[in-house]
Amino acid sequence: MRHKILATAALATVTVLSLSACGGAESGSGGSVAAAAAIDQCKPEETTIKLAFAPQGTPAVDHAKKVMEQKFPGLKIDAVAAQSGNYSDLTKQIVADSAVGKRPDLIMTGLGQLRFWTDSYNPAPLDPATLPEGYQKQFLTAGEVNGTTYLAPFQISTPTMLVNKKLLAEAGITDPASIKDFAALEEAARKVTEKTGKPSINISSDDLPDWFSQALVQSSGEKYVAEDGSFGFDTPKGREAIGLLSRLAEDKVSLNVRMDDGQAQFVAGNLAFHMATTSRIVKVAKEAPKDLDWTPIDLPGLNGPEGDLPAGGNGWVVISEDSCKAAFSQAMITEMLTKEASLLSSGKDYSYIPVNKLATEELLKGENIAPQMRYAWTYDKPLTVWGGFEGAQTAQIINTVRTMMEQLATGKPADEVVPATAKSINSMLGK
Amino acid sequence: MTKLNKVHTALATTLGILAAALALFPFYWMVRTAVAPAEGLTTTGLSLIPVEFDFSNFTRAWDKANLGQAMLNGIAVTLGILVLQLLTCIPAAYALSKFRFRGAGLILGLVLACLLIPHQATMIPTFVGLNLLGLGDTRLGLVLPFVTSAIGIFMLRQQMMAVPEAIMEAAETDGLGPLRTLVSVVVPISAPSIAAFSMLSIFTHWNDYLWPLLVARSPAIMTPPLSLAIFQNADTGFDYPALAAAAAIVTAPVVILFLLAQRHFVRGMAGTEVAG
Repeated sequence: MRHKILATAALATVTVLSLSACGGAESGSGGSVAAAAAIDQCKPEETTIKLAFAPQGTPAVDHAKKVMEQKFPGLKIDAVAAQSGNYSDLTKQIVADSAVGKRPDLIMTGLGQLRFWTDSYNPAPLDPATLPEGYQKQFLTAGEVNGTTYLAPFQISTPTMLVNKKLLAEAGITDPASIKDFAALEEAARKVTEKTGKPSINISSDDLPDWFSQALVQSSGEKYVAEDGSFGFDTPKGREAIGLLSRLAEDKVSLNVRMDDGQAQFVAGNLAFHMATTSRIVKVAKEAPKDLDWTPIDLPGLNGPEGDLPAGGNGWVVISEDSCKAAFSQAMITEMLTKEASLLSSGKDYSYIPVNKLATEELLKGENIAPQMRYAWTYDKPLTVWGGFEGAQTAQIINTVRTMMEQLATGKPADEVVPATAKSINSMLGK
Repeated sequence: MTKLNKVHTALATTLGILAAALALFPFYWMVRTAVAPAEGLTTTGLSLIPVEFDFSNFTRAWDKANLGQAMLNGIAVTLGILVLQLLTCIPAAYALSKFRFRGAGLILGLVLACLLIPHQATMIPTFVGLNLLGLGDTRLGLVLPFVTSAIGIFMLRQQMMAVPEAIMEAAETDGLGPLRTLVSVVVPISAPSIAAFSMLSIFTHWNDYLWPLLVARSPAIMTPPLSLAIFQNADTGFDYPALAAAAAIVTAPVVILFLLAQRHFVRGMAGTEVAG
């Protein structure tokens, strides 16, 4: 008898697992995202909104949660940060939760993954009118897809070039800010290498290959993604722009190591140029010895900076299936972008670009502000969306771009590598 | 010992030492990073021994990653999985190695086929099924998908195949039933393989990251690898000193366990010899 009961229980478990396996695909993505209701028609005491976010957002989320609970008595906000500060890990968790009907209402996402969410989960458009006083609306372009804003940039950064002023001065270059085009950059790198006998520049081909390649292409005035969604920079100018990596390798001035390792060499004073991001400035500032004379400069372009750079970092997207939850989620976003919240999310412990101008002004009132931090906090140029290729192919496209960057970094000519990459990515996209 | 043999021995010893040094160097570097001051980590040069020592990275790592709780969770989950795997794999291997019954070949084929399916391929369906059973974000959810192991069944079956028929017949002559024979005769003889499989299981599940990432959301049930993720930030990079200290703490139990059990592990992995 006991055997029969055990066997029946085991069979039931196996059946449930098998059936759920068959049903998994249909509940994975898509779903109907609700348009936000008028918030005054919603009952906060009957509503719980669930957030999914990485730990770097915690201070601002906690602040906004308190404000929301005071504004809307009875509203419950389920806001426990994920353990990992990695956006891919966060995405895996949200996708898994959504597959089992535990879809969050408001999610943080890395800006590079925006197309994945818009193409697979139909998020609710963001109403710019709901943004708080001081919010720098020129950054909203980083959250746009096909002219509609889906994401509110929250903790953002952009590629920059960190420069060791002492090494440059020893090579006879006294004004790093005068390096505005790739020819000047290559010339400066060659001079430093001649002087030191060591590689003088690091542009990581492995970390963030899509973001960095996009930055090099766009700073040269070329399009990363063409109007029709296909590969955008297989043009003479585009090839020459991204060919920077190849030329640096041929000149034997490129270190070509991962970003963390390049950063370590930069901090140790061994590297004249290190391509990094504004969000990394705080870490470099903390680790650098006091006598390291360094500065961030705007990323040069082929003929000087000609285009807007892509934004990195993260932002908020509403994917709620309930109209009242969507409305409270929109209100929560507003509270996470105020001056107070922005000070918590982008303040002294970070070098994200504050998305709220009032927070920037407050930060600049502080004493003994390092000029490098000032550079990050005052960056106010328009930024573009990161990537832009169709979302379903994101992972494969990034891998293809990584291969392209690695080939260029070994000195392979751009005229050979870029057309092959364009062909490969366009075939993935069906273009 | 001839002169040639001496040369061979010296060469083998040298290569062994070199291989061990190469294998151990990352572990050494982890410990070295953990005991060096966080400030100046990248500016003091690549000395094998830090200029200064600072053990505060360990307390910072312990507190920030809540390692005490994570280690307890890791022990509970890993041992839970191991016990269940031994309870399922040993009888299955015994049946497949010592009994002739219809479908045995097919079952063995299915077990081997399981080895070809990557864990990631079944992850989402398994996750959906677990949540239907209400086991998402629970310790049981971390354990249940691993109650049995295809590699365990296969490994133990190969060992049990080598148990001589004469011993089995002697057990039968002495009046031992199948279950008693398994417990009193086959399991003791298969101990090295059971120990080796146990070590493999412990290493795999103690270090598993992806499944706990999907299942464990509450801080109370985080496992050690997941708890280390707190030291990475996609935008600013890694907190290497704290990460190295946390990694040293987390790997210490399995390293000690391996040192204690390495003799059995090597014997179990080396072959299917039967003592006596």
